[in-house]
Amino acid sequence: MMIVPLLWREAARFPAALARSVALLVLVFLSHVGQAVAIAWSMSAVLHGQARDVFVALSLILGIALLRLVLSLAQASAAAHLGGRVRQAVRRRAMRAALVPARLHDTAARDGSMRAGLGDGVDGIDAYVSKYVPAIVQLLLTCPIVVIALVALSPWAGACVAAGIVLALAGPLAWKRMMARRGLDHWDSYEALSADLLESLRGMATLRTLGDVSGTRERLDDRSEALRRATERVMRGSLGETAVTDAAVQGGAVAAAALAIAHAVTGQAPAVEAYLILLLSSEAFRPVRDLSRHWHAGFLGLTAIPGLQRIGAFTEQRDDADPVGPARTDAAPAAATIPPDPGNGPATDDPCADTLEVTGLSFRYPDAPEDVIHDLDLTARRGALTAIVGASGAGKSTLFDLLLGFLTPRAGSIELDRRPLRTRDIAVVSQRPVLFAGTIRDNLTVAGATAEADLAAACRAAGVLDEIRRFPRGFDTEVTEAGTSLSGGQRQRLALARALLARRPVLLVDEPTSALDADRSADVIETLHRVARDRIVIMISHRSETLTEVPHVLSLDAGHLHRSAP
Amino acid sequence: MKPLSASRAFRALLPVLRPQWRGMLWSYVLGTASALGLAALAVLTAWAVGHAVVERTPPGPLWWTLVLGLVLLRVVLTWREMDVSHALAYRVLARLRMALFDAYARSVPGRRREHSGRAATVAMEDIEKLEFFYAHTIAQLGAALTLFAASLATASVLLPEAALVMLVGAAVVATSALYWAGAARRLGEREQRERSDLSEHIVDALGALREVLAYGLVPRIVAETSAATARATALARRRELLSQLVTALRELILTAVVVGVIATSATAAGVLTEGAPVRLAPAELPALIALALAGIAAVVDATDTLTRLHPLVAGAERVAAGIRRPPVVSVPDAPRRLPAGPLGLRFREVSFSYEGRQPTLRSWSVDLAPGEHVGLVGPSGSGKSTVIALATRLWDPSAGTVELVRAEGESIPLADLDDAALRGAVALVDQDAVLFHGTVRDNLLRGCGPRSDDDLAALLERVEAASWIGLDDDLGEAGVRLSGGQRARLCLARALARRPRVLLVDEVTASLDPTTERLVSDVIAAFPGTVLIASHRAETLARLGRVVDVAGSPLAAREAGG
Repeated sequence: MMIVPLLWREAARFPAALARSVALLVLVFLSHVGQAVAIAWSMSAVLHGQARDVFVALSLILGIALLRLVLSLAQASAAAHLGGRVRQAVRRRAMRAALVPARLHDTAARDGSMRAGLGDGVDGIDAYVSKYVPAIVQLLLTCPIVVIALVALSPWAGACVAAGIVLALAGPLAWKRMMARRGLDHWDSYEALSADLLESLRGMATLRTLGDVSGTRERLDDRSEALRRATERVMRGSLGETAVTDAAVQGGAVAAAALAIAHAVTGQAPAVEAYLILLLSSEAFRPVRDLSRHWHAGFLGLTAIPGLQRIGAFTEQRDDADPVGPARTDAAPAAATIPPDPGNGPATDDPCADTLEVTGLSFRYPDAPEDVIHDLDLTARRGALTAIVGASGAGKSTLFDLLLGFLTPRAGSIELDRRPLRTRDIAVVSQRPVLFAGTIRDNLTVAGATAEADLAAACRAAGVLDEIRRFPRGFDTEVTEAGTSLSGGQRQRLALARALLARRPVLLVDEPTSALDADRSADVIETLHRVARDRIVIMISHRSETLTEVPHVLSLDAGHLHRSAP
Repeated sequence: MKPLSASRAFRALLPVLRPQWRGMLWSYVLGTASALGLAALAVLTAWAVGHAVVERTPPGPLWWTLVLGLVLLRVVLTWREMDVSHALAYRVLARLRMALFDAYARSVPGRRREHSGRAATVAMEDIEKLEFFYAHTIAQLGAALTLFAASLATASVLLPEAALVMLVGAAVVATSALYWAGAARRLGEREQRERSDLSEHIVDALGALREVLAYGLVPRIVAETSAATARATALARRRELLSQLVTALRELILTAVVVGVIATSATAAGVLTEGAPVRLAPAELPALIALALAGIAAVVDATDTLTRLHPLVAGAERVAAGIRRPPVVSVPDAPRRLPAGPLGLRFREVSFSYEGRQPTLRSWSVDLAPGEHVGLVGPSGSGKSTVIALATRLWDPSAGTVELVRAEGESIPLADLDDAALRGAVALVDQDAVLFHGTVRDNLLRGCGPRSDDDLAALLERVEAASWIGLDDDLGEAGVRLSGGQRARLCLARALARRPRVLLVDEVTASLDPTTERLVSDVIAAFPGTVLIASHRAETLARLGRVVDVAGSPLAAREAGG
């Protein structure tokens, strides 16, 4: 018997489902006991030559079997319901905890391990919650009843069976700690393999051109072998449980049989009691055997629990928690007064704002010796494009992440019309925009208008409409993972169209023309100038030709912004 | 025939078991011994009780020794059997994982790209689920059938009609292996699809986390995954119900068989009919029933195993299909080595099209002399990256050849080359290049011969990266903390570390600030080998000897810089 308190708490969150599952399990068990009694009766009737009793007992056996068919179906349904509810709740919490800005800058984060935890890890707890938990409750409820009945028949038989049950349940606790440690190793290697595997699948083109397929294969083989060894170790520990249970079950049954024999030989009891002792003691161990079976089905899933706990899958959050909100609060305490509306949906309230003002902004990465952004001031106004230039690594992308609220500044404030800037005020086109797997339409409508005319207008403004129209399926063309089926330039302009459709008062664009030829680049810049008339537009750029008409060009250098000659 | 297609899916996965035949045999022997032990225990106990009740005689010391010995033996055998069969299954799974990786390495990226989240589900979850097939199927079915045959033989000696009831009962139980098999398979398939959809969704959300956060998509993604979980739960529930229904029916059949055996043996014992000849001592009755039960229970176990295979068919098919994926490039029969010396690059009448799209290249030809630096231009989306991909042999052209050309004029098609030789000669820096989790050193050395730290440090110097990163610094997945310019410098250093003879560059300078662009161009200009750069940047193209147009007519090459 292994108790995982976290999962018990999760199961207890759905008391009705848990109670239904346990109650039905108890009824199923009682039907087994009833059948055992009927079999004992029929055998003794056979011995005593009572033909009528034999027939009654046999039809009773069949009737109970039919009843159990119905009960066990209802029980299976209730158990699956309970497991599903818990899985859903845990996954919801884990997903919310995984999709946070802190991940963007975490060099230790691996998408593949997260994928394993959120997918397989969460599914793995189902067996424990839906089968093991109700089985333990049922065992604690019913085993004492059977033992008491046995004691009434023969105190010694009852004592033997009770001892067997206690041994089967308590025995494995002796190596609980070792099991926990091995479980941790197992999940670590599962995650590590999953992380390396996803990374190499994503980067297979690079691996092939580097000629590192065989090197990667060796690395993965090592990981895979480590996983195999860790799985074997967990399995051996878990088989210990199976062996102890088996020993206790068989030992208890043999002891009960010996006592039944003793009863029969000494003539203390009629035949039916001897058979009852035998069959009831076998039934008493049924929940223990079931428990062992469920344990075997679920023990590997349990190894994911510490990993899920690390992600925060078992920590209750507010249901409407804004994943971006908390990061902002240190810098701008006023953010707390904003209704906790997550940054989702189009900011329809007021797409217009006049001034974005950054004052005294400083930031450094946790392990860095000095500030990336130091005491930075910036004022961007609606009406004309603001451009930021600077050498590679000067902190331009960091500045955008600070504006977006993905990083928490060490000092300073960021305000839009004298209130704190929120993520949902901003539409962004990053330097390497990522598209989702799905259609072009799915990608464009993530955060804004869905009308065909709006899509066409935005795509025309971004200079990508003609190319979309040339695809056989137009807006319904499928985009592959991360948008890799489109050229870099097409991705960039689709991301711009997406940002335009979001209708937000601030537009941040990072190198919008880097993958475009001269003509298209000029079109995109013209669009940005037009958009800047009714939105605040800040553009990072290196292209001198894109900067010629820009009135405010600021240069980022050593964490400061200076006005630069256009 | 549905059952046939299902067995085909599993049969395709059997060859990996061949090297494990010793383990399979051992597992069968242990399993059979353990099952026989358990049956013997049940029969002996029932026999002793029967005799005690009827004749009031206790069993002798031999019985006690046998029973206690069997209890102990059974514990050891159960443990050993599980240990052997599971260890074997895990070894097979590890082999399958690597076989799948090899298949992906030959076939990814395909012309029709597959989502890595889906591929990862097949390699991890679907393979894990096959543990049941490898650990609990073949040897266990054999053991169960052996036990059934043994108990049937014994029963037919004791009481032929009881054996007949057993046989009929077992046949009926065996048919239950096919009850609702199609439905279970379809449910398994839908569950599998939900699983890979979910995986794809999670991988997408994590890969585009910045976009997800910026557009406030977290609640939507959480809601979508939650709905997907609810759908998967509903499917799992139906699968459970179906398997429970089959199990319950089987139990019902088992009960009917028990009733039949009791009735038959009671008749034979002369209990039910007055005056009939007594052919079985009442004291043996419990033993016979225990024997019949043990035999039928073995068949029940075996059919239960078969029933549990149905939902796994979809996963098995996906794994089998994954392993059989066709390679995207042909493997030469007699791979050629590459002689030393400078190499040029030639495209001869090359055509290529992506699945379901207009041809990207049509009979396109170009010739790069050894040591020549050439630019490749064309509008966005016109096929520049495709030309580069064909030169690195990510794919083979649908017509025409891509060749490496030696100074003396001999040309070697890429398709004839040994892969290691090709990778040693041709290096690529491109816009989608991936930096891997690990240190800078790990990344520079990927697929490269041994290089001293001094060499690597000199490379970092040359791309002017030494001031902000060292060889031992961790990059994180895809270089999370680096800017575009920093990533480009490291990718260039990684390509140069390989000391290639042909350098292919795809749109790398585009997003760089003027300083980095100049630096990258300088480093490439100083590169002694052949260079092909896809770019639309006038500054980049101006430094090259010649520029060719990917969209123009095959011979439309023009002098650049003029």
